[in-house]
Amino acid sequence: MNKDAFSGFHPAVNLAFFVAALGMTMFIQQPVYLLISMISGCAYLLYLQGKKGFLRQVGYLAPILILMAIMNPMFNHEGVTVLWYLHNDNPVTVEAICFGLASAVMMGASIVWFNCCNTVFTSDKIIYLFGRVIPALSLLISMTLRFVPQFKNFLQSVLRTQKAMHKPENTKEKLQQALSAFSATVSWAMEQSIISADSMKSRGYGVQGRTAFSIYTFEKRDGIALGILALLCAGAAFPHLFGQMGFAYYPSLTGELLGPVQILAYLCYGGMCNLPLIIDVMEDRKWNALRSKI
Amino acid sequence: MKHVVKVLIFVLVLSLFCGCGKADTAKVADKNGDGKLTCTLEVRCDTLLDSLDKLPAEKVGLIPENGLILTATEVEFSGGDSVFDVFRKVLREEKIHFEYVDASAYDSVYIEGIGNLYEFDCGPQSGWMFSVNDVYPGLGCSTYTLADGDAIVFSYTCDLGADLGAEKVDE
Repeated sequence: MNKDAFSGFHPAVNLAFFVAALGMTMFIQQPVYLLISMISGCAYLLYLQGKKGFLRQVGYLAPILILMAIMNPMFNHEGVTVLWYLHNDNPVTVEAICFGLASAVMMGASIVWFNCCNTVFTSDKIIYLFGRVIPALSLLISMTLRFVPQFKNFLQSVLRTQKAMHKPENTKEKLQQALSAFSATVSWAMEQSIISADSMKSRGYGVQGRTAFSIYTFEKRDGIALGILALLCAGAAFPHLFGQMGFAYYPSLTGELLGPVQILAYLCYGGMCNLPLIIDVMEDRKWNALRSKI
Repeated sequence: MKHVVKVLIFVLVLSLFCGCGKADTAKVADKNGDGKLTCTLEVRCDTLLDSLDKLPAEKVGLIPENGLILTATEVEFSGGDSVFDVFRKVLREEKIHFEYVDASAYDSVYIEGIGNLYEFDCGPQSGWMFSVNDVYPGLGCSTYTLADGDAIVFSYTCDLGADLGAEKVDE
């Protein structure tokens, strides 16, 4: 996995970026915005995970999204442009297809951004940012997030061991093995929770005046990045707040897409969504330039 | 005993299948004696003209100035046809948009929108209603069987039919 430069920024910058990107992806239905978000999200995830990781994480999305786009016009028949009629006389309309596509892209982009967020926003950053404000909750979140892969790994190792001891011959035996492996894993998880509670207590969890170790300092570059982010975010959000970017899918596709205000807003939004990628590429260039001199 | 139960089940299943058959195409009286069954169909939304401000902005352009989506049209139908049979045939011929869903709980269909004007577009109590000869039957439009000379009007209401002069249907 590629450790990117944006991850090295202060956690507050990371958080601000992902809140902005995810929030705007989920709440703005303007088609160009959705496209910008989708493309930049995919580009960033591709940079973070490489081609293989990217395909593994979001490859399964493509069929789901296509299905979503097809489903909408099957069940939603609003829109002035009728293409053809279904067997039951309900129309299939261009507008319903466009809306289906838009919502599919929105969902896909959100998932892609969440994947990026998972890679960049690690649990130590969660603890660092929220440890003071909501100590119990942030600990709980990071423990829960850790629990899922841990549970999966343990279950797999039990299954492997069982298979090594006795290879199941029929479906019934397979089922029995799987069930006993599951029950073993569940009891292991319960035991683990008690052990970790004891361990935490013996290490002084909950004692007054303790602090958590972290190595994050808010540097000048973090301030600059946050400033640029805020500026671009405002540029992308304000036209919406003032009703410049209204776009309606029903009953007909209406909305100004290519006016000067809109294009300016697209530029801001594109810059915002690609901020981490731009930082990364700049950092890579600097690194390569310095290296070649030696 | 077992045999009797078997026979009973068979009879029951048989009667179920009979129930599935198409509703009897009962002979509908030809009133004016011209050998044809005709009715008129009209679709109007004039109640919306007074409350354009309540509509979403993008829907205002859909409303015709005189409030008539379909002027009264005379249609032939065959005996046993329901209001919905005539409605879907005419609106498809006239290329007017409409959307419906099967409301199987009421054994009928429910018209959600006509000409892209949908239920709830003009407040929570708005939607489409139909009347036959100025009477609102309080039935689903696919359960109402037509008679010769019927005048069907589909109209948009903003408050459950009160603005159309429809009597409240008893539950």
